[in-house]
Amino acid sequence: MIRDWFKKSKIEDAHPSEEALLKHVDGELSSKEGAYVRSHLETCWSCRRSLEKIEETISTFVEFRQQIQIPLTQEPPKDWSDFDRKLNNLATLTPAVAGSWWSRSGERFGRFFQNFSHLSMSGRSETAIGAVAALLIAVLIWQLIVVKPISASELLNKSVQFQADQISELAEAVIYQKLRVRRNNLSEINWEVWRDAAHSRFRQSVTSGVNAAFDQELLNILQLNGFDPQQPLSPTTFMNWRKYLVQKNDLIEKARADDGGELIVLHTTNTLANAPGQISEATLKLRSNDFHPVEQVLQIKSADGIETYEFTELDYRVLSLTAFAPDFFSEPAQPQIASIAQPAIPKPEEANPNVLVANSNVAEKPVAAPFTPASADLEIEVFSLLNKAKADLGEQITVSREADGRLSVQGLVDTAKRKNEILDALTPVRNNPAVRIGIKTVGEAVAEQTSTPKPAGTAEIVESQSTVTAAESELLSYFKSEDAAHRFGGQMIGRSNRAMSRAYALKRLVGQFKSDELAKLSPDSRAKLLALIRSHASAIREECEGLQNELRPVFGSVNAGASETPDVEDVTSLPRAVDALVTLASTNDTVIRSAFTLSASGPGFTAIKTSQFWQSLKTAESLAVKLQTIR
Amino acid sequence: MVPRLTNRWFSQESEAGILSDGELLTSMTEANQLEQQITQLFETLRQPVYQYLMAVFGNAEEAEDLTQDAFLQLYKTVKGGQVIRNIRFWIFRVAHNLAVNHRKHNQFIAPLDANSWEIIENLLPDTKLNPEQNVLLREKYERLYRGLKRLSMQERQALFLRAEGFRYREIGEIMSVATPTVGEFLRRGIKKLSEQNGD
Repeated sequence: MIRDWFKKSKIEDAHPSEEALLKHVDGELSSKEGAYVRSHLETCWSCRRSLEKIEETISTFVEFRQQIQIPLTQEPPKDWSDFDRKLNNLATLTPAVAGSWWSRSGERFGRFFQNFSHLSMSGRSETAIGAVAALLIAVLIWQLIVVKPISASELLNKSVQFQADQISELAEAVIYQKLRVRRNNLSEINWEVWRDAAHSRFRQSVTSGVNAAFDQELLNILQLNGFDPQQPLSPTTFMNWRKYLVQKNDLIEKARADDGGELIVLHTTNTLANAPGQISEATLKLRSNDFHPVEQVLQIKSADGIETYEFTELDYRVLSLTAFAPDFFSEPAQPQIASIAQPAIPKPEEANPNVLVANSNVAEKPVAAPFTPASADLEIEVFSLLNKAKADLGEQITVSREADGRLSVQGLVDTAKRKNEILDALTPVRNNPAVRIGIKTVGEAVAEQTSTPKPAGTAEIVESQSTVTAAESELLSYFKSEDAAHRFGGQMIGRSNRAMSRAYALKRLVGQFKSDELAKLSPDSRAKLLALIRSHASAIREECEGLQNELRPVFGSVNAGASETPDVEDVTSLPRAVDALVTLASTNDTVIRSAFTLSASGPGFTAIKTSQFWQSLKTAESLAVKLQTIR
Repeated sequence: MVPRLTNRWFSQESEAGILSDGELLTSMTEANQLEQQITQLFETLRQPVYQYLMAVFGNAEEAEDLTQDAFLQLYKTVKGGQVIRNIRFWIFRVAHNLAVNHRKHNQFIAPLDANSWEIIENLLPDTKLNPEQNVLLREKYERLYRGLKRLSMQERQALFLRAEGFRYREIGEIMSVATPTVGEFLRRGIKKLSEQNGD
């Protein structure tokens, strides 16, 4: 649009478009375009007026933001209180960086050898050479003892984490990979795959060297060994294959890529491979700077010996779904490798017959049993069980679906007693392989921190500039005693808190499911979900009613009715209604807190007396009633 | 005549934040200090990130959690050895995407409740203006407030990101749209605000 205008402006003295003026204000025009606009503005009153209007609007927006929006959103609800704990937890869970020691030690060695060759060529004395040799030994000892080598699992985990982080940087990421697959250096195909991570969709295409027999054989090999054909060259796939091996040897070494870049090469040998089609050795080459896999070689047992499949990455990108046509994933590309539909969940007994061999001499964690990914019904069951232990009300318990389809219930609780209560409540699903439960006490979490302890947190002394609340005068004139006034304030904040925590529990509950999942629930799960919703909604209604009944005598009756609220016709309309209820509860909570918490400015205006607050409170109540009666 | 603004809309505090990031970035490679540095960055940048999420996504508890999640993600990424050149941009992009992913239904809830102008009005600070000027100022803000409510989600995101000092290209990357589209969102946004703003 700007370009069109600029072309036109060269022919006739056209006025810059609004967008060009805005870009001019923002310094976003090219130097030529900017020079034209500046020169035009010098002579054109009309455009100067337009420019002034844009600047006025920006100025008002900036003022509004600083005067209203920022002060209103200054303090988050939990006042950032749990960040340090989360960071500490993460610090204990995240292994130390592997790349840095490698590159640093590499640099040290490089410098060392430079010095060594310099000394040799310059013909220094034997003493100097002896000193250098001693130093070499010292460095080697340092390398072997002080520097902790990276294990295969750590390497693969790191690679998986890097890819996950990269993918999470985009809202809806599509992973594109172009591979060259070569068999025995004789035949090859170029294979492109697109994977829509957010919606589990997949598209693939063979762009050259189409060979039906080769394709089918490749697919058979991948599936037999539990390789995900949707991600044939990925750390996740390699890791999944490796973890099912009962007896294996790993070797990690450094190498140089053709372009000179540093690679880390992992060789894993399946020492019990004996059946045709099994991988006897797999090699994964990762870039050392970002652990991205660029090449993989699979050696397959065959009747005639060993066949080699070499996967080389020709291109890899993480793209935004918005860059694709809407039907991109629904229209399969031609030609393609046949019958790749869903990612195969590795089945140990089929993928690796060796799993059944009992005398394993490799210490490995037990292999997780195959499982069906957690369903929405199972999720509701878990929420329902947590609700029985009252563990769904803002306690630090999170329920989330993991990438592998398991349902993860993680939590940090204060006491062992509370932990046992929650675990007891979860008994019906504790042995379900699709549910992973990790409830810890604070003491256990602290004990698990094996890294150097952080300095103890500094105690913060909070001094309030005032000891009175905004609603102090109304409270004192009604209660005649400061104690009673403060007690009342505390009760109101308590009610509002309870309403908020119920509203957020509702939001967490409903937010777990997509609309189509809600619509497809089994009758039993649906009944459980509705019972949970009714229980939360009923508690919110009670708190809203209580607030109105108790505030009215103190602040006087305000005439206000409820506003219109979203209809709650069926479960699919829940998310909208629950979001609206959370907003209302949050607005009410802001007003109540500003009235009954100590205020730096002392007694003064409190929005409790406005009709808007009463309207908001009644609207929340009426929405809660609607949710309470959902069928 | 309104004084001419610089080509950056952000305030002095934000600018100070950017400088501070740069300084921190130079020393972010030592793993043993990483937690402290992330905590420092968190303290410097959490407020603008939180306010952005509040302005466009509107839920205080979610905004707080997602802000924290973005910084935890930063920790993991830096600890994993990745170099981040523009931390402020990176954090906003990750926080934005976390919020978009989090809100499966992508529905917009006005952070400032539809009927709450009068509540907001009463929270306005006292000014030294005379009563008439005061009324005019309040009317100006109210018109802008009503204009803001007419913005689409994307126009709103683009405006608030621009107000945080991001270039059009950066806004495009954060929102996963092309740079010219950002110009169009901002033009439409400013137009909607200015239509309500005295015309």
